[in-house]
Amino acid sequence: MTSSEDVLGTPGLIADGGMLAGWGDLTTPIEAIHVAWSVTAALLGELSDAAPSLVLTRTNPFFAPPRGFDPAIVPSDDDWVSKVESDPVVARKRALFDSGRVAVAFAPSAWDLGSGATARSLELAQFTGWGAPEARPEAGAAVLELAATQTVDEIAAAAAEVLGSPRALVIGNGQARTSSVAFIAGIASPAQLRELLRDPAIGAAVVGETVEWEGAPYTQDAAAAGRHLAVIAVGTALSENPAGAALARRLAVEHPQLTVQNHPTDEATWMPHEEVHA
Amino acid sequence: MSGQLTAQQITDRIRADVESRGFSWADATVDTFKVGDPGTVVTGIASSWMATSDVIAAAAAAGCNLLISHEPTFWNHLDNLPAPEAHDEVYAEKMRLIEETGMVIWRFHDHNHFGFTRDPVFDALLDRLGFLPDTEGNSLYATTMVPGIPLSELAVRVEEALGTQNVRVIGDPAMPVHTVGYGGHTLDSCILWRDPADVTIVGEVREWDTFEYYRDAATLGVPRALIVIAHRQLETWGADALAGWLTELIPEVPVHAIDAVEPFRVVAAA
Repeated sequence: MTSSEDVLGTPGLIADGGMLAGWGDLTTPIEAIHVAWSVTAALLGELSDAAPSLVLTRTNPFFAPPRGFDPAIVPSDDDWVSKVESDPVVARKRALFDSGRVAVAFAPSAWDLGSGATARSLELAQFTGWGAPEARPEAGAAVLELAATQTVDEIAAAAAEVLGSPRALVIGNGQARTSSVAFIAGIASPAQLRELLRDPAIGAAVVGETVEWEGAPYTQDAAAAGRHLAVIAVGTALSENPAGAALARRLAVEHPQLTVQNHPTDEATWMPHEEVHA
Repeated sequence: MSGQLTAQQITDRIRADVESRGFSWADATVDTFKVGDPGTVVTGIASSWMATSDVIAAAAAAGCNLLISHEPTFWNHLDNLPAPEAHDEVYAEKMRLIEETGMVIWRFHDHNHFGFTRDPVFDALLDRLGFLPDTEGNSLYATTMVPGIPLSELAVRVEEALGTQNVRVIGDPAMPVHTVGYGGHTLDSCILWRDPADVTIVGEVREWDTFEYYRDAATLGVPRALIVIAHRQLETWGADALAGWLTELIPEVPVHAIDAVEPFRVVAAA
């Protein structure tokens, strides 16, 4: 009999202090582990009728701002959940826990696979199937060489396609060509982009997001300085899904007695000019 | 003909105007000089949303040596200068440009939002969207009344009014919209600072909370949707409006609005 607590105690799974919150009874025996960047209401609804399980998630199911993000931008707020208790979205989502069949662990560090942000970026690069990535720990990044040079816009279109997004948001000259592509899962900071610029061969970086008063203007200023590194933003969820898949594979090896399933988070948005609305 | 006003005298006049209308000037504020000598005699004032290198060059080309920027210069909210070990070619080139042009950069963000009876940055957005006549309230607390149009139609209207393809939406495209609200860059600004509206328009939010909240709202049958535009698209119209206000406040010095272009292009999947 394996409980959620047993799974969460897997050596090296979660960084010290990295179990940020939990919901449901973590001591109840479970039959399955579900890995999901976002434990959406749709997923909770599905699992509330299934075998008892643990969901391991990278985002707070009740939308609390993440700890550790720049407090000048998003104040961390331990009281968040109580503040939004009466909100109808929160209340209806909370009711999905009533079945007692689902426990949720908010432990974002599990996506680091025991080796930090670089691991997430490596998984992202590997997921594309475009080549053998090399770790760049100083940038929390991975870099790979394409078989042939491509334009930035071709790389962006291909990245969106392979990761399952209708589009990418691109900063930089779409017609510039490169064969050296970097990957940064999640938010790409100016410090990370600065490290990438040290390698003059890198012409594009596929990232999750970049903040409009941080990485975005830094990229624009780099171009003005004659250093053209295009930034291709595919969305944080899609950029971190591959690390979730790797996490699920690891848990399947460590807990063969349990069913382990990865639930990649879909792109949440649609655009007016796109034919298919999500 | 420019008067002999220094950058310090100009910003003092702005502060005095804010205070004359009953608003106090915050001690803890990002509205400070970021680079350059405040004692510089100003030949022209540029107003822009973001002090990128391209904007600095354009301001100088327009004859300006005081750039008033809504957003930071050095890639973080507090404009902390990079540590010496991080003085890369981007920083070096930006500083070279600033020194070569003699540009003085001052930020006007906090009091541009909160130093007026109505937030002029926000009003400029509403004006651009054509929403101003149908809006009650002010700033992020405002609500625009819309006659039950589908969410997809509202999104197209936003796209066309702002002249951008970068309009992302979460919600049922057929959802009828009666009220439009506004948010900053966080979920709490959308649902705690104000009464939530059918649709909230935000300029840049993070995915992990706000996107997921509105995704779940759609799943759980709560009729709330989100329209996400670029941060620049939310506020650049305010920088244009600021140029007009400065022209009246500082008649001795020519004032120019300098566009900080939206950084993102939309590239469709292959």
